[in-house]
Amino acid sequence: MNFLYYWRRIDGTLLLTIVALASLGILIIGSATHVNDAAYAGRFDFVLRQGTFFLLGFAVSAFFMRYDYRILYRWVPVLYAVNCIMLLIVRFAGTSALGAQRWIQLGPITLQPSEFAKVLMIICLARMLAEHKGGFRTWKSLLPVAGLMLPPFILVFIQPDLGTSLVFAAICFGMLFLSGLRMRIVKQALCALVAFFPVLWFFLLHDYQKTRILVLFDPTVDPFGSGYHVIQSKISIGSGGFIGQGLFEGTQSQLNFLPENHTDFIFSVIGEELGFVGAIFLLFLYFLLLYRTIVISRSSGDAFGSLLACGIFSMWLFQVFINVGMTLGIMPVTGIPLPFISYGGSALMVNMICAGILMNIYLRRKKLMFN
Amino acid sequence: MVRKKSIPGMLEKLIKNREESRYAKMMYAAVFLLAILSVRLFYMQIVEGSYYKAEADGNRIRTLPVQAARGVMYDRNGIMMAGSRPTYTVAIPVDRKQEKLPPEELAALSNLLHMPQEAILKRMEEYKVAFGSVPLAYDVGLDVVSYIAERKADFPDVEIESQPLRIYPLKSAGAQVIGYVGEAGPDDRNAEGQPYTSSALIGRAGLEYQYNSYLEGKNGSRHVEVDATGQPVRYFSGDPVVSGYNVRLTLDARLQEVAERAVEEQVAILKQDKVNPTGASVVAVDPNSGAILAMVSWPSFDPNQFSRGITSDEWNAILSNPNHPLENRPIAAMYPPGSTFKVITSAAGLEAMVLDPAEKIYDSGKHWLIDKRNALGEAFGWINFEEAMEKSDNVYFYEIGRRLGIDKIAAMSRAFGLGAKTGIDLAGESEGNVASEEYKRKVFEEDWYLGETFDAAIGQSYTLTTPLQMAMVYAAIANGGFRYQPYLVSRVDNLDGTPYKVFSPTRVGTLPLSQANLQTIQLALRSVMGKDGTGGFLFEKYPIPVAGKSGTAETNGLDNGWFVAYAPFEKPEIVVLVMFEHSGFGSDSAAPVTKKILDAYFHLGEFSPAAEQAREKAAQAAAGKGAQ
Repeated sequence: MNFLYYWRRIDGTLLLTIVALASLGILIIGSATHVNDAAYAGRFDFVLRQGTFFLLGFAVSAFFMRYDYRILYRWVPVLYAVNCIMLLIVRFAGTSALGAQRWIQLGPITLQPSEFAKVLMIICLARMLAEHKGGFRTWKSLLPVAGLMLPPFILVFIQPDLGTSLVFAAICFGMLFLSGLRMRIVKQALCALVAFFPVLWFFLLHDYQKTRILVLFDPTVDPFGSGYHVIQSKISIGSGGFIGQGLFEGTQSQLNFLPENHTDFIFSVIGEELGFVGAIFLLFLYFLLLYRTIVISRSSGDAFGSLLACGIFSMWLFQVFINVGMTLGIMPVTGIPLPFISYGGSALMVNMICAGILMNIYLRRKKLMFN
Repeated sequence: MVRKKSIPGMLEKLIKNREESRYAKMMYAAVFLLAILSVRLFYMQIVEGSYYKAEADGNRIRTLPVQAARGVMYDRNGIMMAGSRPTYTVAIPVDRKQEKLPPEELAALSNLLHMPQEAILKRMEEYKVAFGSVPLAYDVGLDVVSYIAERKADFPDVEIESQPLRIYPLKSAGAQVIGYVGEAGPDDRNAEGQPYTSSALIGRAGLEYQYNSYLEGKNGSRHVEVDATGQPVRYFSGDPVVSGYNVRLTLDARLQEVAERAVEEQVAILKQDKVNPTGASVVAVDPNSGAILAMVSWPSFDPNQFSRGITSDEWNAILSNPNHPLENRPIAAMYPPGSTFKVITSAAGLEAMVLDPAEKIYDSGKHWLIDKRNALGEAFGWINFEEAMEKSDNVYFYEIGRRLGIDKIAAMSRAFGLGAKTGIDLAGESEGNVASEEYKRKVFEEDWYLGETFDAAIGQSYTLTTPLQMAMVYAAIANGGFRYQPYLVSRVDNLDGTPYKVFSPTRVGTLPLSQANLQTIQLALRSVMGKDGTGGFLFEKYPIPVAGKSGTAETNGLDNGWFVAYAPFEKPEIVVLVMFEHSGFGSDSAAPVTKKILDAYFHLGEFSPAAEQAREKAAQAAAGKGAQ
């Protein structure tokens, strides 16, 4: 299989969408980190690093295009072990920032294993669900799934990284849904969650996590803490209006009223500087991304591929909704990055790998699209 | 291995459809969630966009008030009586005041400002919840300003604030007339009914209050764009600043100071004689226009205290002073006018033709109808009108009063302007009172007695006047019978000195008095200053012919002393009225002050050019000696 063969068979829409998303992300990271302002030392650092990771991710995905994604099926036990070990290393030897222990320092590179854990869990779960027969009609049938998911989930949850652990839950739910999860189980789970909520609230959630949920209803309960982000983010987006204040012209972003504006709150910068037009355009790109992902999931010739794509779809949809919802003040503040846009090497690599897997599945799709 | 999906038959189709519908459902879910975000975006950016835009501007734009320069008050010769000068305050700005000062900076500040470190920390603590920056040292010298400016890196948490400070170079001289300023409170409104910005200065008393709308100008603003840490990024111009108008007063600063000093000196002399005046007033007025040349109210205060922020000790000292330094006595205090009132009784008598200047009336020491006597129990025998005025004889005027009756005395009092405000351009003027039958009936519900007519004829009884009212009575006599409204401001000027508004003298009436009768009174007042008059001891040989009247009004303590004089007699230029509370005879207490003021006005005696030159030389010599 040569390059031209791949080129003719790949999903062009998906490729274009991803390039557009990553480019927009790099542009906005530039704005958020003041590339236009000579007064900031090292102002190109973030843009260069993000660009490097994008190209690196692209190269890695392109390289692995020659191998069938089904190889992953065999590697699942190894991947699962690597995942748990990485998360354990974070637990005991990780560096902490912002009240959480999430990173491993590897020479000059800082890895965020919980990002990689997402794609690794998708692969492991895809195999388990693909092997499972007969759908999920009873609670008992879910036990193996729980056994697989819980160790990494707990390791991430206690970092603490509530956001990523919720992404795991979303991925798990999406893949189970495709595998024929009975709606009754979902309803029961929701009821149990409601009943369990007091326990969660009083024993499991940290104070800062509780504040973040309270802030959702009234940002002024903590105007200089987690409410500050929400207030400033809403001001940023709202003040963008229809066409925005112009790239590099957002007063909220450029004058640093908006913290974390190149990572978790990057959507606020887009809302402020590019306005409703730019924000809707971004949501449209995500629509294309998710649509192609679902198409690829459906077109896969095997359940493993379908489930892989479905897991990636669930992850991206959940992350987009939670992240953008957070900047709009309708979702709690959690450290969930915006796929392809937020600054962060690990996250971008993982998303590029996911895109590579999707391409791979699409390359090896069913030859016949109709019966 | 991987499960193949190609299960044949009906079953395959069923599963396939089920799975197809699951893919569709997932895509619907995605569209649904993206739609929620879009709707929310639309609502925030399009529907509520302007609200958030205003919030964003409020975030980054701070509006700093820029105080307009308050107008200057000049005396009639262009001497500044109220002005402003810039001052510098070392302060910790609002956005830094919650933080802890680094120890090195604290030590350096303590050293520079000669302030113990604890005092700085205490000040910061005090201002933590207050509005605005933390002032550490007011009105610091330029050396401190430049020291901090040059070492900005050592003082990152400190800034120099520049503010205009209202100054009154004459200090306590004329303080009640000039008034003072204070920071506007939340309830104060300007001429357009708008509230003031914080730290705006407004006139609180005297002319500062009366002419505030001219003096205050219009405060402007400056917009500054700040970043999230409050550091200024850019400045924009805001509302323009409009400086206040300058005000030209009728006062003569030199005369004012002389009058003030003369009162102080006289108080010192009186105190040596164990006489303790509780207050004193001086009014010097140009009888030809009503322009006030000087107005003293003793005791006084230093209005500079109010502009630089009065301390509680200073404020308590003013409040607890039993003699009320804040009161402007010449316009607000009311006293029985005593013998100075006799000109009104005379005018009424002359007009009613019950007083014949040539007629002699026998003074046996008391009136033959009622046992009312002269002030010191003297008896002058047969005396005519002029002699009665000279000696301030009471019995003569009892008799005139008897012939007139209270109604005619009251009517003439009113014709001279008593019982009504003079209309001077100051707030807080009193009306005084005119003794009359109606008044007594209204207030005491009693009938009028002849004895009270006697009292009224010599300015006792229920008649109460302000010193200004009496000064205006004599001004009208001096100028030939015209009553003017007294005034303090002659012009309001634009910044370039061109007049914005001119106040000309206002004639409010003429005396109902024939020229002949007026002249009779004038001559009598002239003779008061003659050899045998009560003012003769000071003015008999005075180079400028002076006319006037002394007065001594009984009170429940020591008598109030009055002395009023005008000069030159032929063509009067100035009326000076001096009044001392509880200080005995007017000729003893008040007359010497009157003389000093006239000396100063006419450059006589110690104010003669020769004496002034000698004084100047002496001062220079003393300064030279001091320099060596």
